[in-house]
Amino acid sequence: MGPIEIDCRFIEDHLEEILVRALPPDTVSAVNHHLARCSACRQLIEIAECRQNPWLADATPDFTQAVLEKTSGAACKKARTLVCAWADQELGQEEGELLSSHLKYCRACQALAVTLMELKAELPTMAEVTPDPGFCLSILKETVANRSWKIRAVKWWESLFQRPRFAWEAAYLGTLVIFGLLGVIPGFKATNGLSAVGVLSHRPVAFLESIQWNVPTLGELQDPLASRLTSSLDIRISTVRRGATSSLEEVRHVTRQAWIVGFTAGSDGAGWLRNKAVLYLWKLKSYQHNLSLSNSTSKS
Amino acid sequence: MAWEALVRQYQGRILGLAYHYTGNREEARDLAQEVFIRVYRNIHLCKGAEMFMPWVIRIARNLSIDQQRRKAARPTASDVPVDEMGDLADPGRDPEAEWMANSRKRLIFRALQELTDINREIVLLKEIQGLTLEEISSLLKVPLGTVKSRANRARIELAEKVLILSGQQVA
Repeated sequence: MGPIEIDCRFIEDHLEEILVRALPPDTVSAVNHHLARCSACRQLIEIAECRQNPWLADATPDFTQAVLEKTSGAACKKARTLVCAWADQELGQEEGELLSSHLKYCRACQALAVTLMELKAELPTMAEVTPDPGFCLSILKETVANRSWKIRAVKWWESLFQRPRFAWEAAYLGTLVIFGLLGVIPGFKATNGLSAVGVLSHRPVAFLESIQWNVPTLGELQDPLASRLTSSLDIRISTVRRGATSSLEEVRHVTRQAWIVGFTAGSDGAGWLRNKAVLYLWKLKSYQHNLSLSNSTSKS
Repeated sequence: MAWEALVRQYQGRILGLAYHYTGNREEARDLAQEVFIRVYRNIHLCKGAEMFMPWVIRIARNLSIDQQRRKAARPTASDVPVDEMGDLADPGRDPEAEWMANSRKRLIFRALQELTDINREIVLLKEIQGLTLEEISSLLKVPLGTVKSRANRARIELAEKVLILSGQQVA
């Protein structure tokens, strides 16, 4: 048996049964088949289902809104105060019904409510970000495994430089150091009046050793002066320790050599040595000057 | 081992939190790492398991403020605006980039960036991190009533920004 053939007249006659879906299944498929081909019957069904309303097409679309504007004002403002509670399902029954009826007709508030509902579900999913596989390991490395004092010192030093007021603090500290070295601030002056220069000149071995520690750096320079300095340091330290020679003269000699090496080479280690040597030479000169002054004063 | 378990459990959440505070992938990673280091050093200061997340958020917030101050003092050329993050991301390689590449989340993230600082932080803490109003009030040092009133206003503002960014009508 083939499919039942129906026409537009059948649709008009059985409109109510179609709308309440009271037709047998084979008739329904025949009706659907007809509706797929006939636009006039499709429109009739849509009108009957209130999906289209040709009689109200020319009427004022925002009639309710116009009435509200002339009476209590738009309900959107009140709706905004309730819509969050509505999205959280915390609104009472009466207010919930009132808001639902407003949302049914107000597209803007409806969009807001729907977005709030969506955000309620979406925002908690933004709490977590899947890290890359190495992230956990890098944290463990930074915390538990091999977090030696060297790493911590480097981190501390870096964080010190990154502080917002570092430039001011460094300038302040630098000023204090300069004043201290020049002996202007009373607290920095030693009892014999020679300040830090006197203290440094009494520790020649320590200074020689500090140069010796930098010898590996200097050795990399492939400089003949550097190698000469390397070979002579051991002898000089031992002679100074024995007290076989004037410690001050030894310091001056080695410092000059260090300065020459530091000046001719270009690496960081050499630069450090050069700066240090210049500082010590200046201090030695100032020490000797002070010493001669105090000697002449005592003679007179 | 307990520390490793804790890191694995909270790394995603802390990284997500850092993203919201910095808006930059590299900075978020650094910030999250620094948060974990602080947690490791000061874990004895945490008052119970239920207070762990608010405590971590407090650390992240303080570190983020420090970071922003440093950035303000020394602006670097590597700052990446939020809009460019999607372009820089490579979704094939990086799970974090995949997260950012998700267009809806990106849109919400952009909308969040357009909120005022206080509103953004309230949304972040309440809706995203799930803190209570009391915890937010204590963390931000803002009266509870202010947090309550701002919480709803911030949500509506965010929803409106999302609607605008997605090209829809706003009331």
